[in-house]
Amino acid sequence: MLSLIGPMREHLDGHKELTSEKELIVLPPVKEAAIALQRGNAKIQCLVQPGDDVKIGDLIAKQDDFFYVPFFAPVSGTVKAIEKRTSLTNKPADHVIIENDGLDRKAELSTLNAEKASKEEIVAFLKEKGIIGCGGAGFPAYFKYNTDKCETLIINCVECEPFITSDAYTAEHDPEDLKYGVHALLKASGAKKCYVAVKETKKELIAVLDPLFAGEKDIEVKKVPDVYPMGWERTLVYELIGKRYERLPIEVGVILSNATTVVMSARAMKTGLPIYEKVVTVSGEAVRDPHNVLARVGTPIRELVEACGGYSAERVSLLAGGPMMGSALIKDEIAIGPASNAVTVRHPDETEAIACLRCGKCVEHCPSGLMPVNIVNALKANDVDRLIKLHTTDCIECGLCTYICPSRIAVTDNIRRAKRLLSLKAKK
Amino acid sequence: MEFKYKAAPHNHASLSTQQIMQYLTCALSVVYLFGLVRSALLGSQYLLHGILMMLAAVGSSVICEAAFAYFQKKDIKKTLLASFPWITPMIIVLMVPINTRIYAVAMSTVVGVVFGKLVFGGFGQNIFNPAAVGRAITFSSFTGTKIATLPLSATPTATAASAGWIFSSSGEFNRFLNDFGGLGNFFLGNYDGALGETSALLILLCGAFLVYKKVINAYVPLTYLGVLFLGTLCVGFSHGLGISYALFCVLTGGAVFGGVFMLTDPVTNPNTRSGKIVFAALAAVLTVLIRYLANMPEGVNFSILLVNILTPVIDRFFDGKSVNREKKDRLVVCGVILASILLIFLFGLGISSVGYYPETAALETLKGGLGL
Repeated sequence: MLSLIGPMREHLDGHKELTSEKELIVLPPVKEAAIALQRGNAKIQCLVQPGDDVKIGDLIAKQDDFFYVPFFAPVSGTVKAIEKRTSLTNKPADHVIIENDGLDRKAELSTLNAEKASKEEIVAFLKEKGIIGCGGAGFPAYFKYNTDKCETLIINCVECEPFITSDAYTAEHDPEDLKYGVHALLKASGAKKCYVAVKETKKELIAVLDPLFAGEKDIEVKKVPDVYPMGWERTLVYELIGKRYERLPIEVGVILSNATTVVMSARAMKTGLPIYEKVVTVSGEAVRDPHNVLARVGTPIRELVEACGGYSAERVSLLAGGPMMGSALIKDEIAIGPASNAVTVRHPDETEAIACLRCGKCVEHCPSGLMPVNIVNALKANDVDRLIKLHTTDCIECGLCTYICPSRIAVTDNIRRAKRLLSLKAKK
Repeated sequence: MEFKYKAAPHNHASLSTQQIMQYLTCALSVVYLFGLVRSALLGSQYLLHGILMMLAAVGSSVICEAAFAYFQKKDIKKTLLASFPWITPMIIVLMVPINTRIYAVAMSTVVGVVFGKLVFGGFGQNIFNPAAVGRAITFSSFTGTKIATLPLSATPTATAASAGWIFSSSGEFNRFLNDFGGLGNFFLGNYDGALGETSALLILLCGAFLVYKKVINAYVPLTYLGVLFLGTLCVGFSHGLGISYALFCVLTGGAVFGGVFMLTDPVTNPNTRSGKIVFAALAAVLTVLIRYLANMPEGVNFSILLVNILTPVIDRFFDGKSVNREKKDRLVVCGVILASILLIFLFGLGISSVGYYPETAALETLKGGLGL
């Protein structure tokens, strides 16, 4: 039936060919790893002091409140300092600086046989190893599995952000761990059914996934359209199950995990190692030789870009993530974290906005089903009641409204402002 | 190295408002060229006048916008490039007959651009379609000022209006159609009328191009022409006339032109799909209401102005979070469409034929053509 809302999504030029068929660049372990002790506004307890000796996989800090999130050493060596540095949020944050001794000594680490372990043991293991969602949000993975209401597990290999191929690379080149991880998480979720969702245009990945899960009755590889934001939970759940939900996908019996998260979980179970290195896509028009790069957590972005031939322009937009949701960084000394999946370098966009045409394209495309143009107008009028009525806080800042706006208005950023206004008002 | 900070996203679709206006300009130019070719066949003085009309209209619009920018101390060139001052005059020229006086065209443009667009704050801020405002001025103030040396035959709309918009028998209706070259000719557009409104085929092709290029929203013309067709189909059947009556009602009087080029103006449209559909359905009802019951042959232009008033109301109605409203909105939209068709049918029951006299057409030709 024709939608009265609109497509709520859009095909974007993926630019995936820049990196998808290239060899992986393996960076030598970073000389000085910088681990940002930052997760939103949460309080992080630092568990090491300058001078301490650490091995790969040693616990160095933790968040222990509503969520439990551990931080681990990605290299072996000596803690040099705990100091303020600029983090991926562009703001100063405490960083643990570890000087690498180059020996790659590994800590005594617990492993888990997922075939024998119970649901609870798997969930506890994910929690202990600090496996976080590698799709970008960095939400602790164990948390979602703490439920007995799950009917469907969705493994998200969609990767709908342009330029990024690291997730597909990880899944495509480690099918064994992917399969092991899918089975482990299927058990942890308690679901009867598992969908592995992949874009229909990712032929190479499909060629790996189809035979990998061919004989499995409860696991099905699902091809989804090449549109943005197909990899967002709501869009993907609606595409596969045809249901919408209020806050969390578990309301409709669904848990989603990203493919890299699955692979990382499997590796942790087999080797005991937490996420200490990541495949990061370094791509964009303003980087000379785009590649996927394997780097330790805590490696400065500059080293990743230099491994790809450096910048091809003097003025660039350096983005942590893809071009739709990635935030622009103010310098390249900033280190990557365990949830980093891409660095995108683009020429700065200098086009000027003109008057709103009221065309309604932002309304038709908003994947949350909001009315961005109305939110922007309510913000201009400082009309808080209307901002609430328009469900402003349901915006996920996917960027599609700004992308689609023919008048080049920064719609998404205006909605961000509206959300900030609302949270200020809520505090009062 | 300089790392430029800007808020996400850092990605844009290629379609810009500038491009949208370029495509629209192309489509309008094609329709204008058709009008010029048809005028040229009437005589070279018609062709010359057609060109002068366009120059006068575009010229006066650019002068108004530039003057406004000057008095508001804005960069004139930048303002003109971002406000697309040539679109409104192009539409106005296409909506008037070839024998409209130059000063009437220029005055309509000035009024349309200044009072329809600039006083509201310029491009993007206007409530009414500026071209419709301008056209309404020509209609109400300059109707009698046709150029006598450029005579035109009466338009089918005017003739149908003088016949009471309905015919006592299908024989009489067919006689009327044949006087204008048959129904096929209404589609092709080889009859006298407004410069750019006669060829439904050409306008629909241009509309398809604009939909394909994502310049206009297909829901608006489809709903408008669809409701008009289905409504007048009921009217036609109730008066013993066949499907050709509904086709005639859709193809004549600038309904196709208005549906494709004017109702679709995004600035004066509601900004949701549901809103656009309701808006277009109401426009169809008003078009028929004005045609049947008001003292004017032309319903399209005034119906557009009237539904423009309703746009903010429609937008307020469909305000909120669209996914939460989807089911309710679907009922509302279906209800409005059905009610619109029913209303048109009821209007149609109330009218009766005053008789078709081909002499009326001849008489009007002598007068210089009241035809609008």
